[in-house]
Amino acid sequence: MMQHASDRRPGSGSSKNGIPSNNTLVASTAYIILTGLSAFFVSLWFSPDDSIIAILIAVFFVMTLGIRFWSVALIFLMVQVGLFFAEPGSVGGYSSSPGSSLVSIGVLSLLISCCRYLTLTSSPAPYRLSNRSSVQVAFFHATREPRQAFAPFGVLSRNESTVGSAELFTMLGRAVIPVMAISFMLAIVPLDPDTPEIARLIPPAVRTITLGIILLVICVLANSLLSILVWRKLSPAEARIFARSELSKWIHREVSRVSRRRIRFRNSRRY
Amino acid sequence: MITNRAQWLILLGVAGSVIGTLTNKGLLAHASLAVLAWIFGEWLLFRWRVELQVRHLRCVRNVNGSTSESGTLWTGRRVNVSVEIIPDRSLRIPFIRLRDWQPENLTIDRSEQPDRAEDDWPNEIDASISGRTPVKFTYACRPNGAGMLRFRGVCVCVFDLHGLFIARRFVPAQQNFRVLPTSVTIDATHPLAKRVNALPPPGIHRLQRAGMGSELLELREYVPGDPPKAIAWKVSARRDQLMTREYESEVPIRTTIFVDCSFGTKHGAFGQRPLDQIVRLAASIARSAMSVRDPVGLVACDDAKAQHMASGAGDRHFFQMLDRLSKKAVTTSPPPVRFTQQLMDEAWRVCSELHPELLEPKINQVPFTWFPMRRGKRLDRFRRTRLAAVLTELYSLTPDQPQNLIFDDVHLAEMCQRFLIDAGYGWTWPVIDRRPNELQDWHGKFEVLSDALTQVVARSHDHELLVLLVDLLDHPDPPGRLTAAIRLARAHHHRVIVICPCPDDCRPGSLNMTDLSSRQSLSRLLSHADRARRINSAEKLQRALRRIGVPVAFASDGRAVQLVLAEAELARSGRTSRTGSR
Repeated sequence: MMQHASDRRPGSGSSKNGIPSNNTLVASTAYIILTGLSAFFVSLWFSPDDSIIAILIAVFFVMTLGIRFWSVALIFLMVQVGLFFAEPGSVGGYSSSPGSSLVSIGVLSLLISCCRYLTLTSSPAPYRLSNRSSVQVAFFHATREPRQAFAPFGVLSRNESTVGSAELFTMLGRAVIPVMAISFMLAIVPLDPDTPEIARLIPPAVRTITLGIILLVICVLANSLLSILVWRKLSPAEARIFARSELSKWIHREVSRVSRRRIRFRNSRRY
Repeated sequence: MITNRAQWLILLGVAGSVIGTLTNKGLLAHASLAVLAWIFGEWLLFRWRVELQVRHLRCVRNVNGSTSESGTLWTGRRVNVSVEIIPDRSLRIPFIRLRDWQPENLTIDRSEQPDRAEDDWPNEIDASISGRTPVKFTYACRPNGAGMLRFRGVCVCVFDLHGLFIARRFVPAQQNFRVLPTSVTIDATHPLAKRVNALPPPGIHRLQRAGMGSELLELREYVPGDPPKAIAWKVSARRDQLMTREYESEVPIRTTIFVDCSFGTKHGAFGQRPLDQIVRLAASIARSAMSVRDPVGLVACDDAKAQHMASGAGDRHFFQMLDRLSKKAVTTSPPPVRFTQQLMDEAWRVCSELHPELLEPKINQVPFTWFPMRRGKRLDRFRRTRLAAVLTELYSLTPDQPQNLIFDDVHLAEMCQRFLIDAGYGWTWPVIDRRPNELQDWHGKFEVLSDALTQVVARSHDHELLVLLVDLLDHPDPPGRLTAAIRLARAHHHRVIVICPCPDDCRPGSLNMTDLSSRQSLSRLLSHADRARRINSAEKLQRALRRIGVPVAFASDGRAVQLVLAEAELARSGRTSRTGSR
C-alpha cells in the first residue's frame, strides 16, 4: 500500500509552536510507560538498602517527562554514578550474573526510550552544533519557536506518524541482544592466572586490556568488512574525489606553496 | 555522521567500562559495555542502510500530470507536483526524511492544504520504507519569475531511531521547465461608438495623414504632378479651379518593445527582480497589441548586445516572443563579484544539499595542516577545501585547481557563482548586495540601448510606438546618447514611452514622512531612505523626459499598461495629443 503525505500527517499537527499534540503524546507515552516499567523492574531487583538506585531512576523518569530536551548523556552519567556508589566492589572480580544482565537490560531500555522520546520531540542534543548555535537552539526551545525555526541549525524532529507498532518490540530486541552479547563476551574473556604476575599488573587491569583488545578487533573487522562493501559501490565521481584528496594529502604543501606564489605574483602585477 | 548524543554516550560508556573494570564494579562495567555494544550495533545497522540500501531508491516526479524531462510552466500559475520514491528492491529503513529539492524560483502553495501546520513543509515527508512499498507525496507550487525552473531531485535524510547517527543523500530526478511570463489582462480601451463607415481590416489603422487609403482626408488645390484620377471634377467645376482629393493612409501600427535585460535588472529574489516586472509588462503590452492585430517587435538589450526580433502578429509570434523573454530572464554569465562569506555559505549549503555524498569526510579528505589554529577559521578552511574538490570534479578542472581555489578568492567566487547559477539560484540573492557592488553604475546598457533604438528608427516607418522598458531609476539624468536617440525617434513622429521597474509606488507624494519616528529600527529607516531616494529619482526622471515629450510610467503603478495603450491609440489616430490636434 502506498504511503501518502496527507495520510501520514493528521490534521492536528505534531509540534506547532512547540506544543506536542495528542499524537505526539500518545506516541511518546508508550515509550515512557515502557521506561517506567523497566525502571520499576530495576528498582525491584535491588535490596531495600540499595533504594538509592530506585530513587535515582525515579528522578530520571520524572526529568524525562518534565524536560523534553534533557540530555540522554546526562541521564546515563547519573545512572553510572548511582551504580558506582551503590555497588560494593568485589575483590575477586565480577562475574556476569543474571542479575547484572537484567540491570543492564533495564538501563539500556531506559536509554533507548529516552533517545526515542527525545527524537520525537525535537531535541537539540542529537546533532552537531557549534556552541553559539547550541545556545540559540536552546533559546528557541525555551521560547517554543515553531519547527521551521530550527531548520537552519539542522535540528530535525521526527514526525510521530512514522512510529510503527513494531517499534516497541524492536526496542526490546535492541535492549536484550547487546546485553547478551556482552555477557557472552565477558564469559569468554580469557584470564590466565599467570598473566598479572608476568605483566606486573593487577587482575582488573589485565581484564580491561583484554576486553579493550577484543572490542577493538571486533570494531576493526566490522568496519573493514563494511568499508570493502562500500568501496565497491562508490560512484565514479566519489572515487575520483577520493583519489584526488588522497593525492593532495601527499603533495598539498608543495602545490599550495606554488599556488600562493602564483596568486601573489598575479596580485603584484595587477597593482 | 555521528551526533553529539552518540559521542557523549560512547565517551561515558568507555569511561564507565574502564572504571567499572578497574574498580571491580561489575554492574557498572556490564551496563556501560552494554551501552557501547548497543551503539556499535546501531552503527553497523545504520551504515548498512545508508551505504547499501539508500542507493536503491529511485525518484519519479510528476509535474502537472507529466513525467517528461522538460516542459512549459507559467509564472504565478499553480503547478501540481507529485513525487514518488520507489525502492528498486526490498528495503528496510525505519526513519527517512524526504524533501523534494525546491529551486529558488518556486514558491510552495499552501492554500490547498489549510489544515497543514504552518511549520510543516508540504514538499517534505517523514516516512519509513519497508519492502518495496513506494512513498508518495504531493504538493502544489507556483513559479515566481520567468526563466528556467529545474527540479533536481529529492534530498534524503536517513536517521536511526535514537538520534545517534544522521546521513544525507540525494536521489536525482532532473526535470527542466521553461517558465513563460503571464500577461496581465487589460480592460479594452477601444471606443465602442461607431465612428467610421468602412472598417479597415484587422491590424490596419486609419492614419490621418495623406496616403493611399480609401477614406477622404481633405481637398486641396491641384499641384502639377498630381494624378489626374485624384482630381475632384465636380468641386473643381464649382470653384473654377482644379482641386485634388487627398485620401487617408491605412497603415499598421507597429509596436517595438525594448527590454532591459542588463545585470542590474536581475538583482533580487525571483519574482521580485526588476526584470520580472519588465518581462510581465512586455508580455502584457504584446498581448494587448496583438489582440488588435498590431505587429509587435522585440529588442532585448543587455550590457553587451541587443537581440532584435522582427515584428509579427499572431499566437505563434506571441509565444516565440514569450520564449525569447524567458530565455533572457535566465542568468547566464554574470559579471565577476567579490568573494564574500555569504557567497561561500550559500555555495556550501547548496552543495551539501545537492551533492552530500561528495562532501563526506571519508570520501573528500582534508590534508592535515597546523594552520589556521583558530577553530572557526580552521572550519572555514576545511569547508573551502572540500568545496574546492567538489567544484573541481563537477566542472572537470585540472588537478591543481583545488589548491588554487583554496587560496584564490577571485577564482573561488567565480566558480561558486557558476555553481549557484547552474543549481538554479539567482547569483545576486542573497549572495551579494546590490549597492556595494555598484551595479547601478553599469553604463554599458545605455550604449547598447541607444544603438538599438537608432537602428530601429532607421528601419521603421513613421508613427510607430516604441516602448522602452528600462531600469532608469538609478539614472534620473539619462545619458546624452540615449536622450539623443529618443529625440531622433520623436523627430520621426514615433511615439516613445518609458516604463521603469520599481518595487513600490514611486509617484511623488506617495511617501508619508510623518509616520517616521526616531524609534524605528535601523533597517526600517534605511528602507525608508531608499524609498525617498527612489521617489526623488522618479520625479527627476519624469521631468527630464517630459522635456523631450516622452511620458514616463513605473511598473509598480497599475496604470503603466493603460498609458501604453493610450499612446498606441494616439499613434493609430495620427493625433499628437489627446485633445485632438493633428
